Amino acid sequence: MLFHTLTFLIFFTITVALMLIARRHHTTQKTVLLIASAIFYMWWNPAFILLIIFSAGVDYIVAAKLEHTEEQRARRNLLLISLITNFGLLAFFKYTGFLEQNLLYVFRLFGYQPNWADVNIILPVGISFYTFHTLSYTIDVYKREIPTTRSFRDFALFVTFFPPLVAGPIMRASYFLPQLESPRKMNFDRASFFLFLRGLVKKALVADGVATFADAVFKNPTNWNSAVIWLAAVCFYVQIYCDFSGYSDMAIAIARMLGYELVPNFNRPYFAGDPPEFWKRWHISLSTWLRDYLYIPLGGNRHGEYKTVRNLMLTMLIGGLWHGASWNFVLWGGLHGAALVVHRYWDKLTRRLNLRERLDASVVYRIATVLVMQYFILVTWIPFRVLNTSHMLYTLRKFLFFDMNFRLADAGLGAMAPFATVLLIAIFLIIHLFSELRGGLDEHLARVPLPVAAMACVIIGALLFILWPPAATPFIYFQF
Amino acid sequence: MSSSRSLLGPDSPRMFVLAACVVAGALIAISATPRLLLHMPTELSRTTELVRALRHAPPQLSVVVTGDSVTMNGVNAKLLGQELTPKVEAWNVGSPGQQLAETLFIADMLPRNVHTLVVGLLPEGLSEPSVTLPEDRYLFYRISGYEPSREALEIARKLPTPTLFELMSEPQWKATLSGRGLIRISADLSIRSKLRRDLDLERARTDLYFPAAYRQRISEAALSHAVSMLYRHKTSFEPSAQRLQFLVELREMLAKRGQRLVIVVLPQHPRAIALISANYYGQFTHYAERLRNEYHFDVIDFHDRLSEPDFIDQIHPGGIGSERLTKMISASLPAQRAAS
Repeated sequence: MLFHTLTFLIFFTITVALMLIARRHHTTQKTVLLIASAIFYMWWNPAFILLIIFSAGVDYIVAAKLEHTEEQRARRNLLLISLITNFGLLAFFKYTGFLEQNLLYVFRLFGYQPNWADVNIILPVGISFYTFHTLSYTIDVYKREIPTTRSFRDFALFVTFFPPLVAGPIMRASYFLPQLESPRKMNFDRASFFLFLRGLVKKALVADGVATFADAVFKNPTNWNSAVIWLAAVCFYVQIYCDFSGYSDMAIAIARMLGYELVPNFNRPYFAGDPPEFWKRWHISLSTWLRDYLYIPLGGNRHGEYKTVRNLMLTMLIGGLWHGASWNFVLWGGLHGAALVVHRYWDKLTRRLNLRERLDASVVYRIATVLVMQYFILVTWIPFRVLNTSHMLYTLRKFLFFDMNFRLADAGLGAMAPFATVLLIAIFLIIHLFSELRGGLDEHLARVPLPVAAMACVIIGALLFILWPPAATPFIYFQF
Repeated sequence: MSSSRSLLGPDSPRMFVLAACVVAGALIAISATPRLLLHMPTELSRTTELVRALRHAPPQLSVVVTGDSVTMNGVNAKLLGQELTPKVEAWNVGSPGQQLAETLFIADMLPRNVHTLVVGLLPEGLSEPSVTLPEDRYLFYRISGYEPSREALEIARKLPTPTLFELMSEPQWKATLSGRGLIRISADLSIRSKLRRDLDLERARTDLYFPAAYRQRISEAALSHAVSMLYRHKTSFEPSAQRLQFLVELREMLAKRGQRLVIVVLPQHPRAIALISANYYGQFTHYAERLRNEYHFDVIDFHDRLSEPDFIDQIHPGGIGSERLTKMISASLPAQRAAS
């Protein structure tokens, strides 16, 4: 069930109506939300709800036991049960096929041809997200940072709460569970509405608009020259941001309408000037999760240079693998890890040379770093998008070593509307720049007089109809 | 109102007003889209011109040639009319990306004084499995004023694939929903026409004789790239039973109106012929013979009759090529006429 469909509108209306009926009973409202969340998830595949129940059930019991266990070893064993259960399920559903392919490759390398059937396991939608939701709970309880929750319903609602269930933002128990303790007021305000609309416009107008071009080129990139590859790479650069942050915007807005707050997930990442800044602006809920539950427990930067570099690389490699079962994602994570390491040494060098303050104050330096960083991001999206190895290598070659062939006009791209695509990207970048300098358009629209906002809504409605490609593409992060 | 305010938040009435405005914007766009499409440059704008022209055709119009951009660039209808004996008025109503299904609409709109409809097809036009049409293409015929006749609907209804009939029977607003993507294409075309001086898009939109848009020969490198993109090796030619059925029905409809159907197999680029395979074309030639002898179609096969210099790119004949092709068609048409 997608947020921008009629089915969801009906589902959401019924949910809100039932919550209104149960407005005097906080617990009943939570039950309504829990049932609604289960229905939302079961819309894809009813059977997989059992997986969430099992995962949540194990963590609920483990956390309850942790509360009454003082002995450190026993506590650690309980945590291990939770980790093995959750990562085991994730590994089974997400990485079995990948493991099989790699084993086959190794066997063939040694001349052995194993005779086993291909593994074909359906990936439960959102498993990477809700696994991280539920794990945050047991780990925080283990660290004694949060108390356990008595109510399984509350815990199950935290794990399955439908707005962020299938593509984030990744929720922390410490942030969400306290919100379930007291009655919440629904808030259908203009800010939430324009936030939802912002997400919808990002997805429908921009992401789906540029996806046509990127998909057509990356289907077989070996047909194309550098200009086309560049344009396709920029399309994907825009698409993945608008697709993913659009989903997050809609999820946050829907949760807010229901009276709940989710953590922000994006903060205009394409204005980041260095790798750490990028990860403070891109998929914030994942990067902070990895920082708090992986990088810091590994030792962070507290045990010398070598271990810091190791921890950075490990965190980013695992972060890459979290996205999907492919060496491409590992490479993507590795590139980002290497960038973090390089930046660390660059930062140290500029401090040693007493250049840091002067560089930080320089606008030219800021613009240059943003451009360099964004060029790097563009390059790293190529292995993320083009999974076929020979296609990826060709794409990287054409991207990095420009062939001076600027043909766009007559390269047989008519049906992909290359010029309209360039125009769309330009409009997106202007709005993105405006948002960075003056704040989001949605925030401005939430403050302007009602007639102006109404006029803007009529225009947005018309544009949504006119420019939304008839063949809409699914959200990219659903596959993770 | 006050109770809903307290239940859904104090700002909720304003939010619902704004949501209603978004819906209103979409509804305005739905109702305005057909008119907008008629006035914006799109790849299908020519369809509007053609429907208008056929509805107000002069009484001396006798021969109509139709097909996709290969026909548009390959047949000079003015020259064709002059080459025929006696001289007649002939039009080229080909349009970019025109599909076989559209021949039905063209045939349905033909004035009664037209005695010959020439359909230009490439060999694959007789092998693609079904006779269907994207909704946006049909939308243009609808918004331009075309109403299918009972006979045309009947032909579509008899096809094993129901898509065309469903399309022709559906209400216009439904077709409008899928035609909306064309506005984006239109923006692209507007920019493209400013950037590509080698294209005569105005001529391609309005000319009823020789609507050739392409004027400059593409480079050798571009040609090699385009050939590799467009053509693949094929071992055999598989004729389409559905297309054959469609053409038989179309010929019957035209015959009842005193008009005849002539199929011209258009020339293919020699590099395409070399790439696809001799066996494919051997089987195709055999099929063209069957169409002539077994099904009594007027088929003129020119698939291998132009040489490389006759083409301007990987698919479209250039000036000399189109002149040669037009003369070959005119030389074949009288014989066809006598035979019929």
